[in-house]
Amino acid sequence: MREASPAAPQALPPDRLYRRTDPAALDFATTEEMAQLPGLIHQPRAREAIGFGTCIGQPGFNIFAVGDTAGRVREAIRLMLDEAALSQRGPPDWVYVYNFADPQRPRALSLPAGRAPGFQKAVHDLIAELKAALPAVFESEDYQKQRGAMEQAIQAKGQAAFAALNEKAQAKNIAILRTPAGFTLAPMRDGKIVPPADFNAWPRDEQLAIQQAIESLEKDLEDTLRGMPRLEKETRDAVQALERETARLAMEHPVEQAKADFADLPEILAHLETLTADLLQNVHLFTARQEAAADPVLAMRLDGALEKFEINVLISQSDHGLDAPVVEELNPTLANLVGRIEYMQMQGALVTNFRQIKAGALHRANGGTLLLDVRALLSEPYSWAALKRALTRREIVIEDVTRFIGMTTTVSLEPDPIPLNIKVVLFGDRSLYYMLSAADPDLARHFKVLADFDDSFERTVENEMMLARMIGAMAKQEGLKPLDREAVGRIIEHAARIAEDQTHLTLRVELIRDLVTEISHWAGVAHRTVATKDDVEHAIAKQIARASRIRDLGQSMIVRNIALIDTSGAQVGQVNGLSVMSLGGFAFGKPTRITCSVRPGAGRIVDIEREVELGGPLHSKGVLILSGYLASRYGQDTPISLNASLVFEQSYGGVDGDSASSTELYALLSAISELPLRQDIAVTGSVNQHGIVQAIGGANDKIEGYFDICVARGLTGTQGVMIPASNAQNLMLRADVTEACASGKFSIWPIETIGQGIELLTGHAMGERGVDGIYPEGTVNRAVVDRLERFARVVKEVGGKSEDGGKGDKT
Amino acid sequence: MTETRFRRLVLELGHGAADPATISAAASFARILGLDLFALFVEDEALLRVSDLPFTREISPVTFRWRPLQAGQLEIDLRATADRARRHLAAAARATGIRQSFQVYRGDPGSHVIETCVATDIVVVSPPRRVEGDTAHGYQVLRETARLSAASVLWLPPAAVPRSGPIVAVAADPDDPGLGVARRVADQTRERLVVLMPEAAIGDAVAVRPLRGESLQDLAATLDDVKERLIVMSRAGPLGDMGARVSVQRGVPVLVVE
Repeated sequence: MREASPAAPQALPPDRLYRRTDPAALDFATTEEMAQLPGLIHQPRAREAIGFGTCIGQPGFNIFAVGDTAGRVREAIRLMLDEAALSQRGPPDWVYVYNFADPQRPRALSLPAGRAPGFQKAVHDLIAELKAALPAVFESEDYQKQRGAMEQAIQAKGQAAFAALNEKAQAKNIAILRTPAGFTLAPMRDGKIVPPADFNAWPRDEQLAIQQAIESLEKDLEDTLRGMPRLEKETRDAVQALERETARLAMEHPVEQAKADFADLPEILAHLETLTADLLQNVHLFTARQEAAADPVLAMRLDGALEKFEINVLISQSDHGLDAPVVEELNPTLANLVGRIEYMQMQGALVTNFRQIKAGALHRANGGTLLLDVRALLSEPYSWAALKRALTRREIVIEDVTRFIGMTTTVSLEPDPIPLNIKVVLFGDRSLYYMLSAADPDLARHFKVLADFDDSFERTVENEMMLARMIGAMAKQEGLKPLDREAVGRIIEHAARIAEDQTHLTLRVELIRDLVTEISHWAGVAHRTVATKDDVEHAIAKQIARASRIRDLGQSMIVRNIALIDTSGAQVGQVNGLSVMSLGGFAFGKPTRITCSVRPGAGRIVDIEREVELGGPLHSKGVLILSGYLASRYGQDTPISLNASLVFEQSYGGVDGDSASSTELYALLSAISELPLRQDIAVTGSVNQHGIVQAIGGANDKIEGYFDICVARGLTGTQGVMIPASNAQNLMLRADVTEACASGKFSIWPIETIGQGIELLTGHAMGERGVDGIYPEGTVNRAVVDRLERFARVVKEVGGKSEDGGKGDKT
Repeated sequence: MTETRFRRLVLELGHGAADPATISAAASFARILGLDLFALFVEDEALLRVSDLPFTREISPVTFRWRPLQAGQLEIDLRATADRARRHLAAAARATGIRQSFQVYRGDPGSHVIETCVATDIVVVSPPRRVEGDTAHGYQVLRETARLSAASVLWLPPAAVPRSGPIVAVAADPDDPGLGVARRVADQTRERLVVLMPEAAIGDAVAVRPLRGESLQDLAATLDDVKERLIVMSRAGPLGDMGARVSVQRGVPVLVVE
């Protein structure tokens, strides 16, 4: 489309500046009497994507949900997943148990959903019962007698051998004496040990005879003693066998009781068998408890040794019902994601065991859905890679970050991996999705389903009613005051303002919820039981007031002429542009003076913002389009001998977007034609090479930003804002703006072409070439062409040399 | 009936009775009878002198190696044994809450026991729980000494001591001094009292079992259905000089009251 002959633009009538809700369409008095609307409204595309993603079982079909903000997506997707989870069967429970064959590798066992705590209790009760029963059995008269008899029978053999030796010794007048470290032999007379002095007084042959007898008996004593270990081993073996048999009989009933509830689970029964076998080998852990009563260290050691029989319930579905779990991990560190092994300090060393294995979010969500904020996930070192590894392997391996970086040298555990069957839902804003998909090819492999949430939906009567029901549901769920019909109508209008579209309503539910909450508060302050439209207005005003410090500062600077913005008169090469600043979720319009200077040159337009690297790529693109416009309109026959400079005055931050490109073009045409532009009009809109004015964003904020300045200086009745005609449908202006327009004190002009705009700004028509190919006198085009011809002559006179050799956009 | 009021339980630890089980059993009885536990460790002078003979050697029952018996080493070993006994005693006293004392002497163990013990004492005699059993020279000496001392004697069995069961009194007649002691122990332990008495001495007394003879077999027959934890008798009464054998046969402690 090319710029056609401009028709004089007419200011928009007040009913085009704001679309009211028809109260008649809201068939309720207050929200209390409305049918509730649970769950999520609209979002058919995202709903279908999530429905597809949750139903398809193949690996890789995880979901990446995106929207304009992560918070809103999170809330919406949570609602959808909760609905989906209700129809799915719960996953199994998982426990870690001691690995009796390899203690460093705890075993993972699964049980049907909800049965792990029962297993844990059964084993705990078994151990508790054995703690009481086994010592009692081993202290019983029967056992003691059996054991005593057994020991005595075996010891009797040793004692008999010793008695025989003793008899032999006594016959030779030799005593076998016990020393602290062993045995010795000494001469004896009349049952008493012969003192050395007496012995030395004996005749020599008697002494020698005794010495020989002692030497002979020493050999017998040694032989007798050497036979003892065999007897001792025999005793030990016999006692152990008795212990085991006694323990087996004592344990039979409790073990059978523990098994009873798990007869249908062979793996659990097998573990109980192994556990029982180990218990039989470690009966002393129970029988030594009596001694431990007086020895806390021993007691602690025994308790520690008994821990291996217990069960570590890693995950049980019993704590959240038997539906498929929907888990959200807000802090997805590696440990919180894949689980961790904790350590205890014991006598200066870090120790651990299988009971210190803690579940991560993947465990908790296994068999269901895990929700992760992608920004949080990417902020945590190792987490994204660990998640991908888990999805690739389809199992959860507990990874210790300290091992990755070599910080831990303590002996640790290698628990059995747990099979992973999970649906991962990442959510975040769209930019993160696009960035990640460009940077990491694995994203497409693991997250094949994109759920793209709409930001708004069409504003029909039915949808207004749907939003009204949602507002009612919010009020009810949050325990807020009900709202009357007018209040709801005003919120619906505000939803259109948030969507910046008369024909659409926002789906940013969290903003609506916040507003409804605040409305309820202010209604309470005003002692109202039902919130009214006044409370809505008050809440919106207070929201703006809380966030508007920077806006107010900026406006004050303009009103005090520190930031220079004219709101009356006319200037050559100077126009009021409009920009939008968004700070902390609050957006507001800000007028900016844009100026242009021209001189003879080689056909370059210098964008000063770009020269100093304050201009973004979209802004630069806008300026390049101006070059295209000039060249196509005025440079068809001869090159344009012009150098121009464009600048956003008093702008010290970055500038981006092309919404000021039409404004810049007006400043450029004014500077070339030397026709002054009205300063009581502010301008927004982008332009294409053919002079068509195109839509921009933030029209409402921009209009209100300029309106506020004009109000502060006093409305003259000539002031107003030129917006692209296609933006008229976006207008949901403040009441004070629409009222000013209705009373003729302010105007909003919808502009379709540069011709329309320049005529409004200069009072001169753009002008069309006559049959002679010449623009009529008094038109903008004629003034531009004349000036360019003068520049061409100057350039020709000085040899066509450009004034500056800097960068610029050559026309 | 005159009942002896006991003051101390005396435990000689030098002859090899310093093992924890014996000390623990003695401490339990001291608590039941409400007595202080006095332990004495006598370094046998005769043994120390034997080391002066140039040919004496000792053999270790663990390594089966012989080494010359040297007085210096022997003294060190005796001190270590005494220290170990002292620690076991302190631990047992802590566990049972009794008062205890411990003394180390040097001389003849038998003489020391006889000199130390008086009529208000009970001397504990326990066969070494070791390979040589009751053939050990030191045990034989102590057994003889205990019989000669003025004190009553508590014979411990070689195996573990039962922790529950009736108290059995073997009395000559209703005035037997052992009967009062047995009754007091039964009250203290809240156990049943079973009284055995020669048939002729029973008279009109009820709840007394007749003891048909004075042999170990007669006792076993009378107590066929009883699993007692302690037998009390007087030295002058039936079986009074067979305390050690009764203890071994029944596997329970036997208190022989003077």
